[in-house]
Amino acid sequence: MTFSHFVRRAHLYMGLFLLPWVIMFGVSSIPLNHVASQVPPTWTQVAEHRFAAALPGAGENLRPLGREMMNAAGVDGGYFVNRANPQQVNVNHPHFLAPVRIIYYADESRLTVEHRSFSTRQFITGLHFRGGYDMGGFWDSVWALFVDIVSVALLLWIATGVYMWWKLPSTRRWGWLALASGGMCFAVIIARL
Amino acid sequence: MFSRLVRRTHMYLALFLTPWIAAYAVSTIAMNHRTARPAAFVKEHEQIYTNAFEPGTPPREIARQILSDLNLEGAFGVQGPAPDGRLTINRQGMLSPRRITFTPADRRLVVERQDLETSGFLNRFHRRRGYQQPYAADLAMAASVDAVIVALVFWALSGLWMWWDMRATRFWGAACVAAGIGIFTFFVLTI
Repeated sequence: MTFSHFVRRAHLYMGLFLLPWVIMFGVSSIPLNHVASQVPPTWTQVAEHRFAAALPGAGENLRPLGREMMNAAGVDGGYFVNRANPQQVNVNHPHFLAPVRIIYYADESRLTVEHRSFSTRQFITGLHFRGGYDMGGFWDSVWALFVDIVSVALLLWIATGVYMWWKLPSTRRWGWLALASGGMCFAVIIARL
Repeated sequence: MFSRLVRRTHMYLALFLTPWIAAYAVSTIAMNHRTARPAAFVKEHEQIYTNAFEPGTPPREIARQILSDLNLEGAFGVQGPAPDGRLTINRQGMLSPRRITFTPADRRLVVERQDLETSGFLNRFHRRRGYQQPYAADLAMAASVDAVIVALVFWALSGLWMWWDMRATRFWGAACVAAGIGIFTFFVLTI
């Protein structure tokens, strides 16, 4: 196998393997770029538990309490945690299809578990926004790894694409024109923003 | 002939959009690793602003006029008025965002700037989108985002076409497609 052959095959197979992510990142950018008024999602309470845990002090790490809340609600996986007010801590488990919200009312020693109704728009944008290694779920971190893989693949597609273009001398003139005009448009837009 | 057209469009579109794809790739890595840190504003200058506004003028209109007088027109957001009448204008510059604070009581205008910093810039670039702002550069950016969207879908579909055209790659190509779809579906159902 020659280097050129290897480059072509890598470009192709990488693209075929990551096809769902490429389409997803493209399609999920549509609602982000074309903002429309939307009905707020509906949350339905599905459970309520007695729960008592010490609230961390202001500025202290809320994640251990968040994990306790997840365990008490019987939910596995990654989560975000925030303090809505001095007596209320919210945990969001951003499942793509069925997100869960857990709310701890410390002054009432009460924990509620809510499910969000399915919304196509939020499902699609949820796929786009999900990322990061700090959610605490194993598969969430594997998804984050795939986000990194897609990003590196984009850079490799550029590198291998430029290489393949350069190997086609008959396309060089128009290729240079496309590359230079793209670079100029990009630079002008960024400088003017 | 059709195959050749598909191949050339795939390639020239990619060459044209190279800067956007590179910037989205690098900014995605930065965001996936949470590299952004709050950037501090440094005072650029302070001045007395003498223009007066009719009572009841909407804050956004006041902000637009102030930015115009400062030669800083462009996408912005405005907060306030605060109880003391203070308006805070966030000029959403891509390279150097600015914060302009106008205090009507003493007609003081303070202009602050964030210095260019790589992770902040990448974050701003990645999040810049939409047709809400009326400025030409913002509309051009939103149009370029749409171009990237169309291109991503086109590259996926034209890639499938070109793969199917090469008989020798069909087996391993099908294996890659099946593995990718399988893993993606697993994630959608699981997390």
